[in-house]
Amino acid sequence: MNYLNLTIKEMHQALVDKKISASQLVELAIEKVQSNPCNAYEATNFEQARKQASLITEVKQDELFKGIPYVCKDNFSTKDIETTASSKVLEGYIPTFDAQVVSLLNNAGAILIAKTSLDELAMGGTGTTSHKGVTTNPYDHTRIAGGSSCGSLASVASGDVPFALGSDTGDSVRKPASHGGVYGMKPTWGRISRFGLFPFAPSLDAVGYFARSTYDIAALTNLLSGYDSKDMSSSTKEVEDYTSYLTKDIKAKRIGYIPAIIKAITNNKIVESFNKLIEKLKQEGYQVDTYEFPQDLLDALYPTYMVISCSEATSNDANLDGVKFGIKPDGSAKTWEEYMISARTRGFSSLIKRRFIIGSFSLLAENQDELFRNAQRARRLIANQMKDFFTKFDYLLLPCGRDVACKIEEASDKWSSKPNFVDNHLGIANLAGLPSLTLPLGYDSNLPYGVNITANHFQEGLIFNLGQHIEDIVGLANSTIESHKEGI
Amino acid sequence: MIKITKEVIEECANNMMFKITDEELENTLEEFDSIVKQMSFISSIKDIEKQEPMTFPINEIHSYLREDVPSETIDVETELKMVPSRLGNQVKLPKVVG
Repeated sequence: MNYLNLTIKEMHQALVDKKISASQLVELAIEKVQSNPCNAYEATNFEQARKQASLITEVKQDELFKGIPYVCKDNFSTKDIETTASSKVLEGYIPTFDAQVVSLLNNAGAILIAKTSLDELAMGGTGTTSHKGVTTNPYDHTRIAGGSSCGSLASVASGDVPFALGSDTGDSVRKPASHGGVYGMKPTWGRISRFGLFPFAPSLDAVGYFARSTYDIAALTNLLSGYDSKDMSSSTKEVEDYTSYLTKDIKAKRIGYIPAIIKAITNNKIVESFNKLIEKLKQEGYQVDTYEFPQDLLDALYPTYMVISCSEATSNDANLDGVKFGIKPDGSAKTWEEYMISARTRGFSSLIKRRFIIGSFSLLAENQDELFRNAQRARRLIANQMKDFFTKFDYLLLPCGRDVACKIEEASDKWSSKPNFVDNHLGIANLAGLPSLTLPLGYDSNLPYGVNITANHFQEGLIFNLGQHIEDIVGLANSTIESHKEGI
Repeated sequence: MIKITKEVIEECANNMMFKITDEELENTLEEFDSIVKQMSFISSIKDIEKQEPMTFPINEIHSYLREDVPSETIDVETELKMVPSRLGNQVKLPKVVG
């Protein structure tokens, strides 16, 4: 039996029943992490993990996360573990504290095995721009894993661990989840504390997570949600028992989808699977209908996201100067300006510099109203459109993009002059602050693709209810590269 | 929107406190044609200028002021552990005053 291929819930039961010990699980996970072929890891925590596991002699029924191995994207601060966000500018940075979500997992007994790769500073959607090179897709190493949370996806899809932390500013958990056939969740903005997560664009950023079942995602939402005085944007709204929604008979049955997005999908198999899913949901009593999202807002999605995120990033990353932490100093610098300019010139890749230039350009006094403020105005219109959507529907259901993961050489972070809403529509949830879950839908030539559910603010419970229905229909819970190969 | 030129790109890089190579400058300048086109999708939205800009997606009560009681702080030695260049118990930088 491969214990690492179990879900959190199943692994927990094996620990409770003493079929395996926490130490044995940790050794298995370490072995898998060491042999993972995807270039998915930044740093390891093996000794501490072994120590932590050795102290666990018993796991009780109500200790779901105790002894469960996991990995964490390398843009969360982790005490005494080098944390670089896959950027040269942070090489050598060893935080003196844990991010809030890492503390919560630690307190619950979960065991951190390793830190995972990402697109540099989480600014990218391909998983190809880490300072340590490309992270590949476990299903085909000539293809992208997707980004920015590429390493966390590769780890969970490879079956190294049952869950992983990521972060989601535009779709950075939910798009890779689609490319790797696993579950990827971004909760409502403010639902989970971001203390200790390196900010990229705080008005859009959310802690996210990968797992391999709806139950596991709901259980993680239970554990990680809640107000934190260290994050001023964290919500004081009551935390529900999200796992209870999985079996509830609820009245919310109205599903909407956007036909323009379906029409723009180039992979017919994805459209066919989506249509089949809709038919099955209708048979189960859901009312499914189309929703016309104004085309001008769809066309504006990508530039709105890019202008806002790049502009916010320019100020958030101003502290990456080699003075307080990170990259080693340039001994020849004569002034403090030279010192900082040298650190940032050496520390940022060309791609990051380009994003900062776009942000800086948008914020120039002469451009600010036309570019940055207009993007914020477009954001208002997009958010208002979703308000209108939720007067008619309970869920937005859509495939995650135009196709399965592309070849590495086809991946590009460059801007195209044409609108590309089909590959960027998951960003609606970030612009409007909505909860959103990607879950597996099918395979085309053994390459996975997912479907995404978005609901209104703080309606995570509804998402998990529909998610469980879809999981039962599709039958792809707990898929890893290994279990998929066995099933072929 | 001001016209994008090499000088404007250099000014933006300078504002961001980094230098760019000639190749990075050329590539960015070339890409700005597409960037400007994309940005026009925003400005062409009807009545865009009449909308209220949206900064945060949810209006939550934020506590900007906490109770005036001592809380956890990081001690100097712990803080300095993170610093790439130090001298004694201070951060070391080139001279600010000549």
